[in-house]
Amino acid sequence: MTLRLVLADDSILVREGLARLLVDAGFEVVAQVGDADGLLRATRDHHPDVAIVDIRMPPTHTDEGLRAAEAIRKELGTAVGILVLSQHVEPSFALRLVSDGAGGVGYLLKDRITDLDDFADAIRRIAKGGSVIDPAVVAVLVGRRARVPLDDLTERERAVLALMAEGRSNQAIGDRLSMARKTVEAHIANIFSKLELQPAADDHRRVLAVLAHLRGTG
Amino acid sequence: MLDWAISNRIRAVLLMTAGALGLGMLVGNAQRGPLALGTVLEVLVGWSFVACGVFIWSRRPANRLGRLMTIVGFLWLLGRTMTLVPNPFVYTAGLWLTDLWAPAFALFLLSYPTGRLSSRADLAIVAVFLFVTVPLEFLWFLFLVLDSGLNALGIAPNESAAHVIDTIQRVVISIGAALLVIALGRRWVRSSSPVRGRMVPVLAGAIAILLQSTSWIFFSSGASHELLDDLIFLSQIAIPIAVLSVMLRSRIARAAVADLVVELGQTPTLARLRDALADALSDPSLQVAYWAPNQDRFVDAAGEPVELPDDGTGQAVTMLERNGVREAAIIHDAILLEEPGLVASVASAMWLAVENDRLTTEVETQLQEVRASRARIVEAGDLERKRVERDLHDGAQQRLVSLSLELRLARNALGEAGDPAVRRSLDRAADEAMAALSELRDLALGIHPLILTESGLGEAVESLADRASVDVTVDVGPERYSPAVEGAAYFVISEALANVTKYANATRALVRVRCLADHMTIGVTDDGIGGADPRAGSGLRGLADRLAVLDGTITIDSPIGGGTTVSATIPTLPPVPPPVPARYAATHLDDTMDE
Repeated sequence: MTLRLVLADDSILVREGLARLLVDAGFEVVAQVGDADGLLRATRDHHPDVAIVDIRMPPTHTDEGLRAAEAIRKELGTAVGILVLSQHVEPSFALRLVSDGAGGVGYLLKDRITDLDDFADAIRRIAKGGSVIDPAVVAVLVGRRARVPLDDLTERERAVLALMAEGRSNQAIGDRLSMARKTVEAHIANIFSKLELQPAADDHRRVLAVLAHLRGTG
Repeated sequence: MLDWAISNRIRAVLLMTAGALGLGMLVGNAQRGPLALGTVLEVLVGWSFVACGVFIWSRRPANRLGRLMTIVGFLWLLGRTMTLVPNPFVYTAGLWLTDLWAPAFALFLLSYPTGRLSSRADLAIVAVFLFVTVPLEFLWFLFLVLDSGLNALGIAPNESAAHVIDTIQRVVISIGAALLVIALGRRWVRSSSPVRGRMVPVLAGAIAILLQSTSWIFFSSGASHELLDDLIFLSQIAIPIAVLSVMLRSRIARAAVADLVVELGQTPTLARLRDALADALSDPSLQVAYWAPNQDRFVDAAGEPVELPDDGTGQAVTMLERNGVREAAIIHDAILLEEPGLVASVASAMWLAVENDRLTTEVETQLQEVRASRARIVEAGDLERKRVERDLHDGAQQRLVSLSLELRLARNALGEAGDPAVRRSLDRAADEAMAALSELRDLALGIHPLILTESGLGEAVESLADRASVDVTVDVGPERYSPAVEGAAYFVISEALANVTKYANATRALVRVRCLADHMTIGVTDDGIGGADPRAGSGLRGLADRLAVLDGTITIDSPIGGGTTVSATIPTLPPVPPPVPARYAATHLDDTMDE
């Protein structure tokens, strides 16, 4: 089934380019808008599977994308997936997005749109209710020599943790790291026990738990 | 300039000579019969003038008045004593000196209190007295017939001619005395009340000389008018003493000038300046005028033009100049010129106060300007940072994204069919664009962190901690402050953490921000090697400048081996609680739904 998308970006160049790319990749772009108001209207009219939203849009060019996402969530629930595109590697923006909903959200750097396979995969995961966090954001959190004792984790476990935080499924983690699904599950069990985290019910809650833990807010 | 200071010896000689002359007069008169009260009073008049004159002379060497009074006293005593000597030359000279006393006395009255004549009219009056007592007197002597034969100049004895000349002399001197009274009377009328009080002695003197010179009109020749003479003598004894007391009062005024300087030193407002000067100089009419170079005239404190008084109006002007440039003028009663030292003291006090006031105002104004311009610079800098970040985001970053997209589309269009070299080239171009985007992102973050304006200091510091190379504990609340305060606090913390990374050789750092009633405290502590030199590097200096705009301060405590603590304080308005994130969007949505 073809996924239906709404694009919101105030740059026509980026919007058009992205639309062409996504159409090439087999998505259906049902609407393109340039600001948060347009996004809300288009989302209401078209009930897309995923809305792809630039975080900075008119009028203030700060976090309209995030606010619009929150508004869409409030109005339409998880029926519409939301992927926020940003130029800012800010964990707090990402956390704000995932902590508010029950999955079906993503926070990616705009650069990612050029890696079409990965980008298309992210859209599909979001459409299915998964969560996607940009690897650069996760890297900042995992790389932070912070209050979180990650020193106990092995190199392998840390790689698994990062992919978990990015919202990857066990299958995807296994594929990425070339390990069997069983091995991935064993690593995850170890990580949760070492970090004293409660096992999560689904991938989204797992992302939330891991991110919150890394940020020291969970 | 001549130094008119009087030595103790000269003073003693003068006083003893006057004493001797007076005694001589008493003895000489006593030998001729019983001593009249009038004679004693006459001696006392002379002594009073000499004693008071010498006293004023010694205290106020620069004022001619003391010398003038001394001369008046000596003419009085000498002339009268010499007439007791039965020698034609001595007697004639004595008689003439006695009469020459009159112009000296008139000069004294008119030049009071400064010792200088202030107008041509005054000079003319003195000239009238001189005309009577020099050329007319000489003519009179030529014709004068004396039974005693003591007239050394009587070469053409002619009693009726002498009588005519004597009458002319009496008439003219009466006119002179009348003019004298009129001149001093006019001055008295035009003076302010405290000055009038000081003018009483000379006015009395003028009236006395008028009565003396016109008594021949009221009394037939040879008639006794001893009582009137005695009264006139008494008033003439009193005049020098009264003048002396006025002079002593101005000594008190001089002491008040010292208070004036102290008082004006505190808060020299222009109104207080005038009042203090008027008070110190006992001249309620005193005005202070300031030179306005751009208007080329004097103005008062309110900026209204001030006309300087002309001579002879009873008012005088003391100019205040600095480096040859006129700055202000004190318009005061002319009587204050009686003692140049007083005016000089006031002028210097005034100058100090005006100068101090001017400098204070100037410095204050400059400081305000510097503060304002510094605040503007920081504000403009912040705005510029935001603008540059926004331009980067909306311009270069967006274009690089769309360039990457185009490259990707081109790569897709080419498919697997095209030239492998072109495919590689497109891939490399896309990678380069990615790298450029990544670099631009870091650059933009350094220029202005969006998260600070968007989510506040707490999240922004978390973001800094995320990127720090040491373990940073963040203890910063979610409260929001003004953009200026948040900006300053952020850059303080950012710079401090950057220094921790670069120099401190630390493993842990703690960032703590506390908001108190009216200020925010910032502390950034690390467990590094310490020994940081706040003077080294421009980073911390720049922070101090930035904080100073907000009246904030920054201190660095960095003992060697004891870690480093950067502490800053910024005055704030009470912080506002963090906003509810979804609020804006929710309202927004409702609006849209109503459409």
